[in-house]
Amino acid sequence: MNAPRWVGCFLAAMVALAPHFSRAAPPVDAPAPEELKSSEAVGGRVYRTHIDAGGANIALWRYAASGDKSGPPIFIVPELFCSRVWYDEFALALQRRGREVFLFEWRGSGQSGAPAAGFGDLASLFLGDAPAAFDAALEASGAKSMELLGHGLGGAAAVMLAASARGEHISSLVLISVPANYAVPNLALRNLIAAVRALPAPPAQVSAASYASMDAPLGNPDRPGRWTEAQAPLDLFALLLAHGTVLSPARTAQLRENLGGGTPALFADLATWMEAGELRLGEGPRAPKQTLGNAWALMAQPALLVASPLDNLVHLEHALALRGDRSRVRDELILQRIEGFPEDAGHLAIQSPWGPRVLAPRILDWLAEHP
Amino acid sequence: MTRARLAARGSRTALALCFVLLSACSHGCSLARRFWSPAALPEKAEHLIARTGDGWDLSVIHYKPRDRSPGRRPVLLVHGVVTNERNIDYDEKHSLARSLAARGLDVWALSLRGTGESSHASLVGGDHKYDWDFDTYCEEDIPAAIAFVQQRTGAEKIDYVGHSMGGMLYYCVLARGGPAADAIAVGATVGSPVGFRWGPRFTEATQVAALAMSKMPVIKLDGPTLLALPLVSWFPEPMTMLLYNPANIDADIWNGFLAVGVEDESPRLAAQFYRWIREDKFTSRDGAIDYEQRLPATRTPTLVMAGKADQLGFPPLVRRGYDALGGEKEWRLVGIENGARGDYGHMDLLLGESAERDVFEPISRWLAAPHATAPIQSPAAGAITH
Repeated sequence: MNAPRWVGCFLAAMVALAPHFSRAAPPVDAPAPEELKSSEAVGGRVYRTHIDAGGANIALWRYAASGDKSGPPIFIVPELFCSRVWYDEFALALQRRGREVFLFEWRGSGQSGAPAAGFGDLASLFLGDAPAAFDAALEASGAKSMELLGHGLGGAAAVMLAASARGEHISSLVLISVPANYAVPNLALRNLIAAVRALPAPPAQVSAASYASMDAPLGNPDRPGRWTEAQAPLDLFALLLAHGTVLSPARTAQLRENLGGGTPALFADLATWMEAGELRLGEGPRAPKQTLGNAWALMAQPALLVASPLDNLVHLEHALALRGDRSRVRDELILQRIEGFPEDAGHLAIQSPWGPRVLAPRILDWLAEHP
Repeated sequence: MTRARLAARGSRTALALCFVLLSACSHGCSLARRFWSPAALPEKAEHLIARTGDGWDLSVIHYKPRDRSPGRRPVLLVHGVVTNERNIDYDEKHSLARSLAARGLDVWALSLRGTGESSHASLVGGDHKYDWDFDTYCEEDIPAAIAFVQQRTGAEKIDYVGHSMGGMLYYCVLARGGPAADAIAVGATVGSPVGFRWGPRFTEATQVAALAMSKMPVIKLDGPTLLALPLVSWFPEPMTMLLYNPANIDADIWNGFLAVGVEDESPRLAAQFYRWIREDKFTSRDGAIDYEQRLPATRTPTLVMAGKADQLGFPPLVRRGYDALGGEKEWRLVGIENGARGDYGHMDLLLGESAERDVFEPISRWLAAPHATAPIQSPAAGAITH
């Protein structure tokens, strides 16, 4: 083959492969609700609207399907304190494959505002923000049911949605790093809980980023609480969230900057859940039913469990606790090299470069098998 | 004869010749390794032989304590599957045995039948065949080794540390009960799974591999591993994916270990593993005893260690053993999140550059700690009698 033909083939190959290598530019935020934005890079459109959830102004994003829709809409329930930026690339990847995607931001994160009076606790988020966003998404889609994709504690909220009356509009669940039961996994998280407990009582807004930048106490017997030798000190973001995931410095900075916040009441609820191992919402006579354990027991939809071996926030044994329960857990994906994933992943597998490229297609394949 | 037929016949002949050549090289390597001079044992170590009830000689290396701590029980160390005692004593720096002896413990390192300096089986002739399984180790080798240590030391109770299958044997002995179980005061398991459900692909692959190996006359690994060493050095990815985290193990140490630490295995052992994986149950050879189900009734204080990045001793499967155990117990996940210098893979737990600090030291502390159901031996009873 002569040189011009080589060059021609090379250029043709580059053109053909370009969509696989180009990073889709995130769509520009809309200045006002309901304004349409087009994202030429992905050939689809992204809408934003705001809904009210008990006084909280919740941002709900709709990634309209490009071309013909394939399958029901996918409703993403994000990890707590994580804004749209964390999930945008993943949502775009689903959108590119013909799926309509809805994504909301918890109160206090991204473009969702907190109520003027009283931010609320975990129940306000799980029984307020998530159902309100779900109802609005279902109505906007015009679909009879949606598929839920929950990440971390967002997955816990997804399980609770599936076990509620809204469950009849949920056809299946994908649960990524979602604990079915829980025990505080390491000293870093124990220290984080202690820091949360030490918060002053007045409910001032607390930034999750401030916790994320705390030093990770690594239980080093040589120098307690400090990382030693030549390795850089790790903060809680690096240890609990980013560990095991290869992220570029720019992406890491982007994720750090887009962590939301809450109030001491919310953080205290999380600490209580982590220590007790059972997520319980609210107090009073209805409280016993509002537990994550009960929700798992009531949930009737098929679920795909996705777990990561190097996750330092949700350990494998917690994410896979219900793996033997065939009535609910149909399949599992373990994000490790030996299972065909490009890396032994951590908590941020969705946010890694492999999330949109490798994880999204696998999830869509599974959803297609469980309509 | 057509050219195509000639070419096909030529290819088959070439393949057959390659196979014969490789087999010859493999057997040559196996034989050569028998005469390989392992790294010298420390000055205060001695090589002893324990005899099992069914006539096998087991190699037991005794590491005398540097400065004997009064009242400390002797400790038996047991290696994992397809390896030998070199796994727990590779060299001065990478040695659980020497580390514990340096801390004042009287250490006894066992090579299970067919491995290390213990009796080996042969396919043709010889006294022993490749006919053992996991239960054989549990019924014969471990009780013989425990009784041997008791007899040599005069100690009524001993401690036990097992890596991988060595820890599974500990669970098996406890679950079966009897004199061997009664003799163990305190135990520690390192990377020892009690369940057999890894990720879906890996579980399927191990099941197929175990079934295939169970059909062979022998699971031949020592010679082929030596032969494949150059390839392993050049292309370590499959091993790093499965066996170790290269961030924790020096490549020279790993390659050196492969040269002396890999052993052949019995197909019957693979058959028992195959059934475990198929059923995800840790049972006796006839399926009558579920070892995991018996663990809640045990009361021996046990430290359970798992490597964060261990693919074989997959943490959720190791955790199953911890959850099932009755009595005093401690769970340690060896990873950066808990202050270790790395996320440990399966073999890093013993051969890692920082295993001394991250694994051996916690084991030593656990064995030395007072435990409710572990009577401390009097110095006289624990004295070495030879």
